[in-house]
Amino acid sequence: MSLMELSSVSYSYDGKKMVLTDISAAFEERKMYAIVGPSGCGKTTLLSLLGGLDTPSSGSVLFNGTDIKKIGLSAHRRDNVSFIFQNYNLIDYMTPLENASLSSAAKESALPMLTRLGLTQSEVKRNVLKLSGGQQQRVAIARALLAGTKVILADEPTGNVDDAMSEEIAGLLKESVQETGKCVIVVTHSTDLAAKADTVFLLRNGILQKQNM
Amino acid sequence: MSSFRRAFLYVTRKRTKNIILLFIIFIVATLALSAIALRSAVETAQLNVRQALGGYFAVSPNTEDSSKWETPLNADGTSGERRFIGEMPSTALAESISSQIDGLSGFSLSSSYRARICKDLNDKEDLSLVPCGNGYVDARMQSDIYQSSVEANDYYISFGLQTCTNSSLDYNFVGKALSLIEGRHIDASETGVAIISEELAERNGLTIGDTIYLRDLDSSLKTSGKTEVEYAPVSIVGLFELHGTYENEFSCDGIENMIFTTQNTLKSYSVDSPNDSDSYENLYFYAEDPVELESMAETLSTFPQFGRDGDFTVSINNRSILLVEGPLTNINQLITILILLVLIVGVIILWLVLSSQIKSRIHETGIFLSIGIGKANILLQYIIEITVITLIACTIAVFSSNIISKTAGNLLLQDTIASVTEEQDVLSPAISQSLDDSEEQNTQNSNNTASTSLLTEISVSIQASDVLLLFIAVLLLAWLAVFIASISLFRLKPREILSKMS
Amino acid sequence: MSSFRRAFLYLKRKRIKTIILFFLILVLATLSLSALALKDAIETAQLNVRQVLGGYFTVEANMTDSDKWLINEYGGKYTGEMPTVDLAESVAENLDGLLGYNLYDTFKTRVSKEPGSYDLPFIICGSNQFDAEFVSDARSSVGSDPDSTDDYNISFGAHLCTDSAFDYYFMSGGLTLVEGRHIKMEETGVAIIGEEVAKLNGLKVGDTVYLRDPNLYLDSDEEPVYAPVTIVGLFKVNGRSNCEFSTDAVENNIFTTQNTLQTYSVYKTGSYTKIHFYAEDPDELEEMAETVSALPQFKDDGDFIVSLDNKEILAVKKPLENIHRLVMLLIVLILMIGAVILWLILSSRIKERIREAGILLSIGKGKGDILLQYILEITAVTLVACAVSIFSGGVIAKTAANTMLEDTITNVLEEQQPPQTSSSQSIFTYVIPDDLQNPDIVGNTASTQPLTEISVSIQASDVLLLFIAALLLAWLAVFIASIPLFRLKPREILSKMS
Repeated sequence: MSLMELSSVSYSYDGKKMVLTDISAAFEERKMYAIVGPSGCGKTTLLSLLGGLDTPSSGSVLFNGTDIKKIGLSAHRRDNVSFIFQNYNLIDYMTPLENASLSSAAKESALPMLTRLGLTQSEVKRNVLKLSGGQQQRVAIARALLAGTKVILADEPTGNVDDAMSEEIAGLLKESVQETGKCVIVVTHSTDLAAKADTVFLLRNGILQKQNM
Repeated sequence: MSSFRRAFLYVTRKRTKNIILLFIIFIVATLALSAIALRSAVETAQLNVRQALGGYFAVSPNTEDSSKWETPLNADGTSGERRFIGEMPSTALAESISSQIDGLSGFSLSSSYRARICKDLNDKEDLSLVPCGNGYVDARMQSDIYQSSVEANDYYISFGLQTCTNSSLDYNFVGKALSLIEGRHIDASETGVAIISEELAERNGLTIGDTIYLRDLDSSLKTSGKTEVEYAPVSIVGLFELHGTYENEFSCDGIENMIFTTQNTLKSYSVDSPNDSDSYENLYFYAEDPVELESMAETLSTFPQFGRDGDFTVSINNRSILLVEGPLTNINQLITILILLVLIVGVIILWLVLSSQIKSRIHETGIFLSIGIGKANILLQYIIEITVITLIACTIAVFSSNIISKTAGNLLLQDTIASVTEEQDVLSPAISQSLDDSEEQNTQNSNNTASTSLLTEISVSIQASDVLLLFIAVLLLAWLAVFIASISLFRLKPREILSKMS
Repeated sequence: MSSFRRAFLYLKRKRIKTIILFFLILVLATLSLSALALKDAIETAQLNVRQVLGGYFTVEANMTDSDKWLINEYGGKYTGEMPTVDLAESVAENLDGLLGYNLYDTFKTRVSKEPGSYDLPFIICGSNQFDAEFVSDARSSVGSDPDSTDDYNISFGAHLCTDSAFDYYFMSGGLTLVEGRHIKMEETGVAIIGEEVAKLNGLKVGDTVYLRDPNLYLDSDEEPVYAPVTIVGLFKVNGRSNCEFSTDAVENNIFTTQNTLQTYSVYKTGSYTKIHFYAEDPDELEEMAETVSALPQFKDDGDFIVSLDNKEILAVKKPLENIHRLVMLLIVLILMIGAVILWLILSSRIKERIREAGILLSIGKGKGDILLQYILEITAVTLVACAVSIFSGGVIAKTAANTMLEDTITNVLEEQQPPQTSSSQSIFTYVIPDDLQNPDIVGNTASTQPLTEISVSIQASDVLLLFIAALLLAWLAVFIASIPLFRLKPREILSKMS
């Protein structure tokens, strides 16, 4: 049984044009997946479906064999998956520390994690909006990692950072796969990041295709 | 992170937004509380209008019942004038009625008599009447022709005498037809005191402290068979002035020529004095709110002593009250409409502001949802935030409304304060010094009674019940607004929310 | 793209936001207009309180001055001057705010349908036990001896007036005109009679009756003159007459003019007994009376005196003033708070658009352009909202007026019910002692001088004020809220939001 599974999932915004057509795929733990493809083809949509932010027009999303609808979308988002958004989506009235601890009670592990991600003691206590884009990105990553979920869904996590940071982030994600056995699914334009994945999917014209590496 | 912690962080970190929100709630709450306080004050002012117009109901002996009349024999065997022997109102009756009817503010008993007055026992010359008649007979009486006439009926040179239990509560003073401008009022316990009009005093060179002498009319003496005239010394303790004009054919009937005294005084010389000095012709009752006079009189008319064969009858004088009822009701309604408007508008504004405040947090809501924080949890956070802000805003509103109430109170003309000052200014230093301690006390008291007894003081204040109502109403409103605004957010798919903002 | 176009696009695309703002301004504007309209109505209601208590001042001959009386053994005659129309006019010239005035005098007159025919019967309502007897005796007396002076007892009261609408009987509510019209002094041959008398004699408006002096007025050799008079109005009595003999009862009054009297009567004085002056606002009576008493004819030993009875008006002065102050305070509060709320909302809206402003600045738009855009947007919304508020305010005003009208009608009806008299179970009567306004009528609780109608309506001046105030407020709020925006460098603005 796979950790996460897409079972004949189709999705359309308006009932006419199909963004995703009858997609089936399986995602295992201890693996990193990359989803690549032309812009605007529904990669983000796919991620949203996996994370229970939206529901498919037909087909189902399974977690550990159970339809996530049955689990409860809210519970699924809380216990099973965590997101790293392209535009960070941080709470503007909380510090990096507080943002990182949003999804778990453990504030103790937040600080070390943030420090590890390169944020100083004073930076973690400042208002997030005062941080640079790259710093904010790292806070978002910290939040996802600290959530303790089995699955991490990342939408263009390196979209706004330089190459050095890109490498750093890629390393972090890989680490979480190897060290904590998470299943990381990344949507990305970056070929470098995709190269680090165990499996790459190409999403084109609504169809998901496994790529040969 | 719990809802409480998130709420705390929001309220403490997003200071500007929350202060503005707090401020809006605060001023709407202030307006609501102040409006309600002002409305109560206006109602009291309307009560004051009724009180100022006064009115009374009167208890009089039932003279319609013929069984209460008898025709006595004169001392010389001839039939005298038919006279009334039924029961007369007394202080005892007044007190008994007072104890049985609520809302009375006072009563006064009085009787009317006539007396001749002189100021010098040597020449026994009658005081000169203040001319106020407009008939030719009166002019004649005042002219030289009369002076030499021996057929004159001494009625035309006599004075109206009104005995009372408490002159400050006599309807002439209460109804503001007269007002005391010098000296003090009198009450039933006194003997040998009188209040006369300022005009009469001036015309005859009299002042407070002077002594005048009262005697019966010839006609009274004749009826009683008394030949010797008794003169009773009476001290002038007060002067009154008239407001308004009255038509009289004869000067002797004019209020300018009326003298107020007590039954005890009458007893000391007059043949007309009733056997029981606590027996009066009329009993007047005043109400705290004159609008009640009618129902009070109706209640009274059902008592055992009242009724067709009863001892007493009730009559009511409340025309002015009835007249102003319409306009006052209109004022009431207009103000009620205004207040309602204010409250409705306040509700609308609060609702709009709170709703949009929640809706503007769509992005944040999306984030929480995406993290897996449940809807109930998120709603709880918003509810906690708004509760804290509302509580603080309403609390401050209580203080600001109090300030507004005080300001309003200071703007008002209060009768009590003004009249006491007036009365005290009028007392000349000489007079106030000549009064001994007890009388001075009396002066203070009776003057205060006269001017302060009538108008309820307008107090502009915030009632505890209104505050409670405000808190409850605003909280409920806030919760409802936040709840409904949040619901509309929750109906969106988190993805839609997030995509809206990215 | 011009500021106009940007403003237009904003309003069009950000529909919900715009509608909410529009609605807020609408609500506040409606409240303001309604508050002002209600305030005016409340002031009118207060004026009504004063009008209801009424009051007038009287000009009459100085009869208390005994020097002016000629006394003989039969009685006395007043030799001083009596009020005339000229006096009234010269007094009126000195006064502003007079509602009207009326001079009156009373005589006796006999009335019949044809010259020389039977005298019209009148209403028997005297309290004297012999009243009805006196009247029937008088009728038989006159029947057998046309010159009998008993005809006094079958005479009607001729009440002369110069402007019957302002006669104290009508002004005090003692009588009400129920048909026809009032009369003025220029007219001749007109009369207003009681509706009961008309009904008794089968008379109606338009009919003619004949008036003549009673024999008491005529010398032994004088013949009565019959003057035709048209009935132009009918009155009804609110309450009942309080008199001993029917001939004195107000039910049997005939209102007519001096001109009419002079066509038949031996009395041709041209003067009247008294003049009653009424003010539009009874509050002014005192000042008016003072002005009049300073006129030459009214000095100390002058021919005339002014008297004023306004103690009720004085008594309620303070409470009414208090009501006025409280209401004003409330209105001021409402307007102020409305302004503050509007300011806050507009300010925060502008502050929200900081990013947008940054972007526009970065692409080279001037600060003035951006400010202009905001000003245009808010002007458009404010104008429309204020315009619509005229209607919503009007609706509220109408509703308010209707609520009051219903109640006023009920009140008046209740008041007009004659009170229970002693014939009922409880001995409980209404007494109106010392009532100058209606000395002859008992039981009257109808209102007095005509009340200014309370109209709850939006004044054009208030609307103008609203538009100006709202616009100025909006512009100021937007301007001041934009200042910090413009003090930041574009780079700062953009970094704030990215």
